[in-house]
Amino acid sequence: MTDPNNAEAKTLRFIEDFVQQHWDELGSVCYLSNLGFRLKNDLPESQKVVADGLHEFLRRNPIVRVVQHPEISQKIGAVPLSVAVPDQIEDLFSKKVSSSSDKKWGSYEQVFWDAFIKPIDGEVRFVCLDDTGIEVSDGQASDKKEDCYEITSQDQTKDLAGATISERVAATHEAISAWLEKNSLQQEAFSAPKKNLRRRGGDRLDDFFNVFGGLSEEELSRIAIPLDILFKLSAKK
Amino acid sequence: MKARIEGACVVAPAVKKKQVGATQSAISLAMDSLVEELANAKSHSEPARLSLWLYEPEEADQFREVWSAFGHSAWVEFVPRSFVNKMRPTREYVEKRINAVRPLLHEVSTAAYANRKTSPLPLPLRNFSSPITKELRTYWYNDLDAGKLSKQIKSLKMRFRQTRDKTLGGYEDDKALIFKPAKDNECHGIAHPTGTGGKAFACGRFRYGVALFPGFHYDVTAAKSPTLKIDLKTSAGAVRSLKGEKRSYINIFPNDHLLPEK
Repeated sequence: MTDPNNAEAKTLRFIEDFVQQHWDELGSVCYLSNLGFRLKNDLPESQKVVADGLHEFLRRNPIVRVVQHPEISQKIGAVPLSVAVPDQIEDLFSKKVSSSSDKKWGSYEQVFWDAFIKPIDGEVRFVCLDDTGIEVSDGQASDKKEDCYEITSQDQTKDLAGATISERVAATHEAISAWLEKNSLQQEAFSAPKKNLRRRGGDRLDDFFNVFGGLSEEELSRIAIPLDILFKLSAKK
Repeated sequence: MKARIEGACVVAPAVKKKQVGATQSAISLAMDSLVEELANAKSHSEPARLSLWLYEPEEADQFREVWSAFGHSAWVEFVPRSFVNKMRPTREYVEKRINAVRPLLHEVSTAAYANRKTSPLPLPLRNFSSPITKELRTYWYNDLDAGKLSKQIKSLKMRFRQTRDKTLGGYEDDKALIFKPAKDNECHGIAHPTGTGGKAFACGRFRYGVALFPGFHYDVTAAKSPTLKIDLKTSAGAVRSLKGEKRSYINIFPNDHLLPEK
């Protein structure tokens, strides 16, 4: 049988730690709905302790500060006691602009990214930039050419045994950033081209005109399309 | 405000700037000063009030420390942290807030003093084993206005009434102990048992900021046996086993002071 006092102490500790961790990572309130869900899943014995409701429990045990959105009353969350509540309480409900976990990493060419992960077959790895793009090759240090930069095993991502994928990704970004800084290079030189997730209207119209590409001038002169139809086709997804 | 505090003796021990707030040294100093003043005053009347004002703590442990020391005796109020080291805004805040606190204390006093025989508020919190006392050990009145506080006390009283044993004439706790509130003419002997520490001393005089009825206690008997065969907690928090004492009853005061003593 669970000792109720122990369950209560555990619940209090869990709440305190979870709210603090949430704040450290996201810089925003931890919604009570989220906290309640985590309590239910991670600490089942807490359910008896918070039987009267989490909000009520925290009212009687102010180990964190409970805040309510001034305009949306359903939004209720908690922040650590150390957090100074601003006059604009709603600010606590939005994620902080820059935090360590929100770091904006770049997106690199796959071949460049792999250069920091795959084992080097030789002394060093060369990353060469030319008009066609990035070329990666392994060899001896003496083989170095102009516009080529060296990657040594020390520059590569450190072996992170047991690390999660996100931790490995973060470690590779760190390794690349350090290497770029060491060689005074800009991130953009190795960035992957941004994909156009949404094609522009002009592209669609070009595709449409390409359909008639095989017709002669005489045949084309017989086609008359109202302008509003063209607009409609252009706007159509 | 001026009329209310006329003739009052203000005790304001100063702490160093770094110790301002819910610090260990500030808590100890506050407790020592309170006990010293209470000991000098010897007794007090029903209108006496005890409220503790602290700047919003920055850590949960700070709150726990304060609550552990004063939570069961004083009425605890938070002052916004932005007023730390700002005397005038602090004073103005307290002067304004105290007007809202007074009716709340009046409500608590009605339950803990006037209705002491039917209300759970003066119960010895360590020895009356029940979800009611478990709730009363928390900051149960936090963030309640007069209406909600009244409702909360009413709810506690209703739950307490359900534990009443009409045959034995007292309230039964989860360990089958019967707590029979002492009649007024039985509240003699030690009016305010001091206990061994400052906390017990304060808890013997006040409960949630209001005065306790001098000498009020519970006659405690066992519901299922002629003698008490259980472990009780003393006002200092130590365990006292009654198994070998062969007592049919014992007096327990609101601050958990046990009489007769061993």
